[in-house]
Amino acid sequence: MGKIKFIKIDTTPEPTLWETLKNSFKRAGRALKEGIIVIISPWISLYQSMWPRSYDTTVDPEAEEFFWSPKGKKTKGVLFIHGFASSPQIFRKYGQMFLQEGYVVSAVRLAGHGTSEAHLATTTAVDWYLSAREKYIELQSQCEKVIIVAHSMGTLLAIMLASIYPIESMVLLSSPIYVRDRPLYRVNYLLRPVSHLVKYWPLEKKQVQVLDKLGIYAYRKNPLRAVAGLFDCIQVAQERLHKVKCPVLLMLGDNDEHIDLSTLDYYRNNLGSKVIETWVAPQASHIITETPELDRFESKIREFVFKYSPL
Amino acid sequence: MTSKMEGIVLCPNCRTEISHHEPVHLVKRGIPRFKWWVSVLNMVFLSTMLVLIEFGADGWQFDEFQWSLWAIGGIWLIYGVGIILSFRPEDTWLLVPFFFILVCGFLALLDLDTRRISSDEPRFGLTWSYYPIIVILFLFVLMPLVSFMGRKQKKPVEMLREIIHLEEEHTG
Repeated sequence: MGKIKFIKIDTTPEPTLWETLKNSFKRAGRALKEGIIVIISPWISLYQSMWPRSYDTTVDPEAEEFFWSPKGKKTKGVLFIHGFASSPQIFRKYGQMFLQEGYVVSAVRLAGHGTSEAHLATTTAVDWYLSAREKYIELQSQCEKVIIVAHSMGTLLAIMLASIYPIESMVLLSSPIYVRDRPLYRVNYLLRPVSHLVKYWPLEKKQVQVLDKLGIYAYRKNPLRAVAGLFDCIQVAQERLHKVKCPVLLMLGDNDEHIDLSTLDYYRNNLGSKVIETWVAPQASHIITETPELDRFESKIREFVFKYSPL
Repeated sequence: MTSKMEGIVLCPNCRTEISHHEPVHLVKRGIPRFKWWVSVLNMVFLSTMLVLIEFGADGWQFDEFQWSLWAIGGIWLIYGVGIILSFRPEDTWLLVPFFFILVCGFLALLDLDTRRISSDEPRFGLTWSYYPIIVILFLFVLMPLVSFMGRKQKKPVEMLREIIHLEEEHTG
């Protein structure tokens, strides 16, 4: 058998004069455009060097939010809300704990968190609230009841949510409903104007060392504009406190550098809930999730949630 | 960087569909971007060009007025402010008027340097630069600053309150 020969037949018709002209005009136009770009490139580069540099919005893998669902019946969900300049990372092990018990677990990454300080500086309390609300609605669509476990500024957002939505129970960790009397906090109304001149306030060396030691993802400097947003949250949460009716567990470290123990009295006097449980973690700092007495801390949360929100 | 709309990949620049057959689409249609040193290098070229022109026209004499140095100074001033702006974009409202104040200072200095060329009826020690300085101070410093300070803006805390209130009403 001989080899089959393939003959290439060009079926495209000869271009007409009009098509040839059109193509050459196209080519000339393209060349002209490229030429213009080459000529004006230096000027574009000068102009571009003056364009505002965009901030980094890439989420750090460590700071990713999580949503874990157990097999079988999903009746209740736990929503974790992290604090200012922090990330959902601090709740991972507690998320695992609740997942094993059969709860649906969701942790929100608030707007501007887990990316860059410059990104956080562009966000406000409204953005943080909307992030938390979005996650709550997502979780609520999958479960009958929702429990909130929140830390620091997250507790303020939790109070706002609980004043509107039917939250079954809440665990508020290191809640800054009002903060210690410190020079920076006393002039909080000056934070926004000052933020035009001083953009960031670095953490103290001691705090950075603690974060590094514990391996916690958190920003090492706080954008002052965003700190002003934290005070907005405090103001609104104080106003909404009487509308919260669900059982609340308040946990506070007695070595907390931001919050006074008298906060607990403030809660007892102003919270609308009938059931308010409190626990002061001995020798614990503001990062109460890493308290030296971790076992007691975990069992307290467990007991509270199982008592008021059993599966 | 492409955006997806109903399963079709669209070019973010021209909003037309992109197929995988033409990967150069985005490069061709988009405005070219440059490395940071391109603009610096171009500024150096521009400055050198001005110096060379002056050298060719007048001869380089160190004891006489050299206009090219003023032009070069102006270009680098604009560039410097641009760099500051790129790091602090949210402070543009403050930095741009400040830049124009610098421009006024620059013009005044230039005027003082050239007074021996034209010096009829000086005002505040200035001759020709008095007029552009007045225009710049009013149009690019005072008016933008006043407009910015007087803009209608809700406080973030009020916005938060309003959102929560609306949500409360909505959920009943």
